[in-house]
Amino acid sequence: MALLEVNGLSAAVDGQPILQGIDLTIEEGSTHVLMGPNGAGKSTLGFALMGNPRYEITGGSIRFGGEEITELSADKRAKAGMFLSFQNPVEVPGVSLSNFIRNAEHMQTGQPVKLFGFQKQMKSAMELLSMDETYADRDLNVGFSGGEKKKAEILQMLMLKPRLAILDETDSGLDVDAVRTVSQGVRAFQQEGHGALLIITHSTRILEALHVDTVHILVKGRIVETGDAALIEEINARGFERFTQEA
Amino acid sequence: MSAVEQMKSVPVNRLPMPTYRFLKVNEAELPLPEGAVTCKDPLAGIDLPEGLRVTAGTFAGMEEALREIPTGMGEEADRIFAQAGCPASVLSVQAGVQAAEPVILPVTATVGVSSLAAVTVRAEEDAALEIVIDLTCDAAGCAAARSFFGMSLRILAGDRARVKLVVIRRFGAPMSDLIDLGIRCGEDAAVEYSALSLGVRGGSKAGAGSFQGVLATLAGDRSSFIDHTGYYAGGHGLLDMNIIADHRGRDTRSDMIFRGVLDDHAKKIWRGTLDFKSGAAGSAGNEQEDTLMLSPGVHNSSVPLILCGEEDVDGRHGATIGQLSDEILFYMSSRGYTAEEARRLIVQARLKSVAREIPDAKLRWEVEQWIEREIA
Ligand SMILES: Nc1ncnc2c1ncn2[C@@H]1O[C@H](COP(=O)(O)OP(=O)(O)OP(=O)(O)O)[C@@H](O)[C@H]1O
Ligand SMILES: [Mg+2]
Repeated sequence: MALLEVNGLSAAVDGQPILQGIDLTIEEGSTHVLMGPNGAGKSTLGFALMGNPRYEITGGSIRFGGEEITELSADKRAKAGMFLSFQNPVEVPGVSLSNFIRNAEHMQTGQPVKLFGFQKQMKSAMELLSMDETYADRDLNVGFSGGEKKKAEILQMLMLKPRLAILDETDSGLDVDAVRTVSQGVRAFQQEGHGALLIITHSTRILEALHVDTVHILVKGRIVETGDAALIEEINARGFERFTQEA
Repeated sequence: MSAVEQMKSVPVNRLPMPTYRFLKVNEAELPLPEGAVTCKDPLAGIDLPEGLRVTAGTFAGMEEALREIPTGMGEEADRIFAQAGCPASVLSVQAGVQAAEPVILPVTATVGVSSLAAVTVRAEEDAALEIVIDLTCDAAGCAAARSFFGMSLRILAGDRARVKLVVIRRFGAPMSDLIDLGIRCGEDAAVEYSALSLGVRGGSKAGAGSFQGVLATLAGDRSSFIDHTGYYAGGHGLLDMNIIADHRGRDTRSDMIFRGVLDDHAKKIWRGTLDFKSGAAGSAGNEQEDTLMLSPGVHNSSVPLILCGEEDVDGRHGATIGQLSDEILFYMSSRGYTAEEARRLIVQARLKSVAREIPDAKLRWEVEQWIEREIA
């Protein structure tokens, strides 16, 4: 049984149809890449999968871990093991990064989170991501640079250990070193956490150190091509022209 | 006629420089307590660290140097305490003494009764002291009857003295209350004030609420005042504040931040004045407001005022007004928080950030627990 099964998913925002009959299957522990031109609907797909109430599901279904989740609220999807790294992470004033994660862990597991073990894990995850320790006590994303916000997203992924992490352009806005660092974080998640990934990206640098199973091309709200990692090189060389013409 | 209409009131929390009258912010009407008033003396019979002393006295007979210190609410508030014949003991710290531990004064408002308490503090040259005033009322009775409570505070900080005052207002039920503070700083004196106003819920009665005034007179050169205030007001609660930093000496500093949460139909009026008097050259003041509004029914009004009687000064005001946006709620729910939990975490985090100012670990923990239990 697949971890994620999306069948004929259509979604609209503010009454405007964006996604048109998406089919997507992601196996447990596998890594998928989603590429496509600006405005194709990649973030929309991420939001629809995560359950953003602004995105109205107009058709189709989403199954996760064998359960029908199309109608489920976002917090329940998170509890079931879904995670979305935001293209534009949101500032949460007054709540420190470390408190935010610790509470989220508590919400998701329903168990109290032991401070000692938590702090140890935080420390090593922050080291892996070359994040200064002081960020743990800063208000989440408030005054963080673009790159720091993205690292904070990956830190949350590492700490929360979801079964499926959707990374929406986590690599955009990162400097060369930061892309490498974040990529290491993602690889640690692949290897240690055995989590599945849906990586939305325009660049291939984040993928260099990662094993990729499947690549999907999204154009105008439809998946127009699915293939193996070779597709990435084709797009690198020739862009989306072949697909946009077909679509 | 209802009791409310019969109740007398006095003007307090006056803006140092009146603005348009139709804005109705120039002053507040403090409803006076009905019937008999009980006075409390929070300094009576307390254990004191070495070098500290309590001198008994009355409010009406307060010594000149203390009485002269103006307070944020104004003379009308003083009159209430004087007329009630309340005691006003003086807690003094001898010159050069650094109090080893904070002085904690628990004050319990008596239910169904109007009660008043006054405390004055005199820190002599080079002395240092931390005081915490913990205002509570016993839960069962507090809910049953509307009570009036008044607290008057004065601090005289001598040259190079350091005083930190934390006032925790954690009434669990509708109250009419006032907290009035006057501070005077000598040369290089530094006073830090932190007020945590919790549970301002108000009743359905008009005029009920919490009235708070702070006036810091930065008389000595290089003296400073820090105010770090947090509040939560819900229900039909009214929170009326008047905060004034009166810069008189050269190179004086004031830094004030007000972080709060307004919910339901709560109403907040905030007056914040940086008053740079002639002679205050080189001084700087900063007042920041950060308000979270949880409901469209709240009323939030802010009156920042910067008065410059001197050229070489720097006064800043900033305000952030936020709502719990759909963006934050979805972001948090994508991490497993329900809307309710998200809201609770954000509200409590704000208040706890001010609770961190409480210099006593046990009381800080107690207040944090109180916040988790009572707020949101
Ligand atoms: N709130 C909205 N109201 C109207 N249109 C919207 C809204 N949100 C997204 N869209 C439209 O939906 C389309 C898809 O947007 P989406 O953000 O999913 O694209 P994307 O593939 O993630 O693009 P990018 O690569 O630039 O991030 C765009 O045409 C966008 O303008
Ligand atoms: Mg996008």
